[in-house]
Amino acid sequence: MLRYYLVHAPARLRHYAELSGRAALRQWQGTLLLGLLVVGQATTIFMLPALLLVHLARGESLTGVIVLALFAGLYVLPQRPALRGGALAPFAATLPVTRLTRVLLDLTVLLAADALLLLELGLALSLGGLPALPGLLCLLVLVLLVQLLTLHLRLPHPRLIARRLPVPSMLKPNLQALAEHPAGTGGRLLVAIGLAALAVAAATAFQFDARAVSVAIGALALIGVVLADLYRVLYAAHAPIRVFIAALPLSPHHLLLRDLLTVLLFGSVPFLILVAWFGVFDPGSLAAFALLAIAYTGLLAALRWPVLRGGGLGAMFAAILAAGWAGSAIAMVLK
Amino acid sequence: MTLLFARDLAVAYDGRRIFSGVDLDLGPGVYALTGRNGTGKSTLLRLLAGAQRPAQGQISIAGHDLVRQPIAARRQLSYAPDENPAYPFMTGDDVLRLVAAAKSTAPGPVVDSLVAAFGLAPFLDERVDALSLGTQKKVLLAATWVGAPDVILLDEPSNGLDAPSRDALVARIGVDSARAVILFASHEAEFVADTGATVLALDSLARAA
Repeated sequence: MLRYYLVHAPARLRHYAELSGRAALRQWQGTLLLGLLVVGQATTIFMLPALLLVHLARGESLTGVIVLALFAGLYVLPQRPALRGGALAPFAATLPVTRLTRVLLDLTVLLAADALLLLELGLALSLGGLPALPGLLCLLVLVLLVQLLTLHLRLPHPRLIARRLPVPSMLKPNLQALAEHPAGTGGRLLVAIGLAALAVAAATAFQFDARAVSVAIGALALIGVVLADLYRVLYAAHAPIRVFIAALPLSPHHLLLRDLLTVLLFGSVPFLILVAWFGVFDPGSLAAFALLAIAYTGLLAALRWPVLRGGGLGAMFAAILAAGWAGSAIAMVLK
Repeated sequence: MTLLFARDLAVAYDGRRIFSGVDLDLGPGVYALTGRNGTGKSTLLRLLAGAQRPAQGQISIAGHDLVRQPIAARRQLSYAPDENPAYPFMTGDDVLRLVAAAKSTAPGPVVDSLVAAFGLAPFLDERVDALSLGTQKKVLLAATWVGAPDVILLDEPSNGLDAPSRDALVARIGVDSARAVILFASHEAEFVADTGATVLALDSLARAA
């Protein structure tokens, strides 16, 4: 079976790299950028996860271990189609290969997907020394085990979930189109929710003083940039049916409106998280959030232009637009 | 001698039952699965190949239960889906090597003869996504004969084949029909007739949903 492993593993890895290469590149760029940021006692943000892993390896926080396991599973969830081997997987399932070989192939791809975690484990080992090694190895085994289970969970395809969502029928085709890209769509939504959670944490740390709403506005601007990329996915998905739609008795702006509503639907999730949190702990800020809802809708609509028309500089134009929006919104709120 | 056995097979998608109650008991020979579009011919082949789990039922290949003895069963089984399952960057040669490695064997003289009959040799080092649909089909068909399987499942095998390759496939099926079960799904009546296959209408095999 070693021969089969040696033939199949490079193909699985290449398949994964081709599907997730750009996302992996963004992860590494982000990590390197974080490496430049320094917090307290000359420790870079880059080293914080390693410090956390050393802490967990010493068995000092069961909750932390559970959160790590949950995060490991969530990380794999949107990547399942790519990690499981794509179109070759059903065919490979018909070949006489042992379960052990199949598990080894899965682990090989998972280790590639977890390259950043491995780097952090290496750093954690350098920080914690050899005594931390057994604990770190246990964490790695736990993460891989959770990810293996997540990989083989029998879940309905995101397309079926999208079909069953209680949303207007006008939006269903778009949700199904986005469900065809579960990694990208799920990843963007997770990042958006993560940004909202960070803003909530920061606002709580600031005890909802004057800085809290500004932080929320900054987070909304970033969320807008992250979610605006959905316009690109939807635009590409419409390409084959654009001519067909044009021949139907629909408004010429039908697709535009549909895309806008879809992005607003996604954008409403992090926005509602912020509103709910501020509503509970700082009810006085709700008036500002009512105005922000209108401005945020405007931002999400405006971001369509740089994403679809900005060419290679689209991301930069979107960032400039969002930064300008955030600056204006903060100025309005402070006034 | 039963080589392909199935009892009470059923399949459902998204809670909707496609068919149920399919029984098969096939000895060496050629069998053509026919039926209207959407009745589940490809699905039945996927179930028999172990590429998809049935909602219920039992399958055995050359006396080996596909669930309890998967390795022994799959060693005697080959399956060529209708659509090319290989990664776009793989070459035809990669596909043959992958299947041969899984079966712990070499492609062998039968595969070599099919490669020659299909005129595949010049294309084996090219990426699969650079090949025409017919050539992709030929690669898959050649891979099907790796390891001299007892049960060969082919989904629309004549799709996209040129006339000489189609004739070569008919001849190959004829040679192996004495020792193996060759079950294929096809809409092409002429191909079914040329192989001398026993026609199995899926409608008559299954209790439709």
